[in-house]
Amino acid sequence: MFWQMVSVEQKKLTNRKILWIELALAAATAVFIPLMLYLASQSTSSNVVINGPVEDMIAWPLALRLGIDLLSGSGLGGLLIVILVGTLTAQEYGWRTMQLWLSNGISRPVLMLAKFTAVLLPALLFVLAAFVAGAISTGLITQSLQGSLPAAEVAWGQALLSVLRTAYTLLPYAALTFLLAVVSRSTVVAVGGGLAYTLLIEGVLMQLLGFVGGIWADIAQYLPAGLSNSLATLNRVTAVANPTVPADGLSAGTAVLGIALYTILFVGLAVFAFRRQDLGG
Amino acid sequence: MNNIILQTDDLSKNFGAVTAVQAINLRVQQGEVFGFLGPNGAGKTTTIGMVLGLIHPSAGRITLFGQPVTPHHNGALKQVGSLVGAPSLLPYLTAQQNLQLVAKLHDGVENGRIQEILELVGLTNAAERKVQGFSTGMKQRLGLGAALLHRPALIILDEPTNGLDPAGMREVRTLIRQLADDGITVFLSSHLLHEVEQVCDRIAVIRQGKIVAQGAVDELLNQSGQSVRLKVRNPAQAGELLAQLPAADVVTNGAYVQVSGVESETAVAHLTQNGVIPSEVTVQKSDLESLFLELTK
Ligand SMILES: Nc1ncnc2c1ncn2[C@@H]1O[C@H](COP(=O)(O)OP(=O)(O)OP(=O)(O)O)[C@@H](O)[C@H]1O
Ligand SMILES: [Mg+2]
Repeated sequence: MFWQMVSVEQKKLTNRKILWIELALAAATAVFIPLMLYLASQSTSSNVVINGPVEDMIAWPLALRLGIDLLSGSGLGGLLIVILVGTLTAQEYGWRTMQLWLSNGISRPVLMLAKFTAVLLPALLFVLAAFVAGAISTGLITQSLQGSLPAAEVAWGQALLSVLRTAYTLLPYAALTFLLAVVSRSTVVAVGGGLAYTLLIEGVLMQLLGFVGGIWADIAQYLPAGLSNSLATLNRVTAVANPTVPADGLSAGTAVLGIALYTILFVGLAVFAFRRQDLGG
Repeated sequence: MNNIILQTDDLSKNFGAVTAVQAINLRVQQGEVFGFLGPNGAGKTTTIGMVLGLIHPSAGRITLFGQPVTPHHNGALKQVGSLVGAPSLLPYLTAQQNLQLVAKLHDGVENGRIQEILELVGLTNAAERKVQGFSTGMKQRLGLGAALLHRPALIILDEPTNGLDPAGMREVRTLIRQLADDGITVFLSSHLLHEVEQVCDRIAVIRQGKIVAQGAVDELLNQSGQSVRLKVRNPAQAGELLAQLPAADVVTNGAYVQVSGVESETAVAHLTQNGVIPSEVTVQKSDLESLFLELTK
């Protein structure tokens, strides 16, 4: 029954305009940013010189990171997943879709878990869309700047792993928004609360704790953003390992586990809250 | 003894200080059309919500096909179809897609069945249209279709003719009778009394959360007496006069005053003695409406 329900949720999701709009937004941003940098550098009045850091940003192989980095939890990725999960989940209270499934004999935990499982795919699709769109636009730019594509320098397997890692780091934000949507049954609260945490509160908290230093700075590393940052240090798109793995960062294993725990905690709380709810008219 | 497929035992629900449903005991027998009557706010939807595992009872038990039902244990609902209030449909999907989603949750609902249902509820031509453009009546019919899709043994309807025009209401009534003829049990909540009178075998009347009567429609009607309807110039004045009679129960209704608990001769004599001459006198055997008004006063 669980997988039937996941398939129901997937089917609903793919029929939602918001999914496709957000995917287009992820892709467009990954096209737009390198393109603007490129155009700025090409205009005669500009004194931006295409070399060093800017060229790395918009030319292969390193430019392939652009789409992946853009979609981090504290960036566009967080924004997109929070809006998607908040809207999809809270709206269904209004449409009484939850009631429909439950009164067809679906159990409450199964419904909740299936709903959350169904948003794993969009998280991956967002990062993938940005990666692919960024790869195409920076590929064209590279071709125009260098006359050829250094495709041999690209480690595609590593790049795809980085896409997966980034999608994985979106899960705590998806789960937090899911919890807010279930508890409040309101799109405004879920999306607003999710965005406030993801784009604002967490960033401020990270800064503040880092500023205080000591044990507090260590605690900051265990926030979803801190865990994501630790995991992101592994991301790469070439065969060359990243030169700057900070010695004091958390291990990848810890980061993966921490992110899983946040996700399980938030989804678990959502299931708990949902089981207690009265879902009258 | 008929087979009881839905039973509630001392089922109660409080919302904070509000007691919506108070210790109700319903018995719905297999194959019957059971009417659940009550005025606005009596607790019908709350009761149905509990039966469907959507609302946590404050006390009491629900047994469906011999199995207990709670929000944490709702497997028995697989054999139930329901339509409660505005139907739960996804506005961005077509009628057919909505049914396809519901079909995924039940084994053995093949594509042909979806077409059959669309036909049954008269939406074949609208099958490919998005539900957001549907009229209230179309949505209601689609909701009814979704409830019937998996060939449930029991169908629970909360005011299913809400928003339907007279022709639509009649269609739904016909459909309900047809379902009953096919051996499907129907639990129908409504405050449309003629609707209930026409289709139901047995009824329960709920008032302020309590069941005030339960039984076969004929029996209940026979138990409650007759009433006298009089046409008079000044119904308010006549009403006051009639209320002086012992055991009289008076309702004024437009140009008429209706009194029960009193013989017609007594009523007419009392009025004429006081200078009020009725122009019309009708003795009415109680219908469901007067029974209902009497019970839910
Ligand atoms: N979620 C809720 N919170 C507080 N009170 C509620 C809630 N749901 C219902 N009630 C109250 O419970 C009582 C019964 O409501 P219910 O909706 O069950 O009545 P009903 O018989 O279905 O009425 P109607 O014919 O208007 O649909 C009402 O007094 C209502 O105000
Ligand atoms: Mg109601």
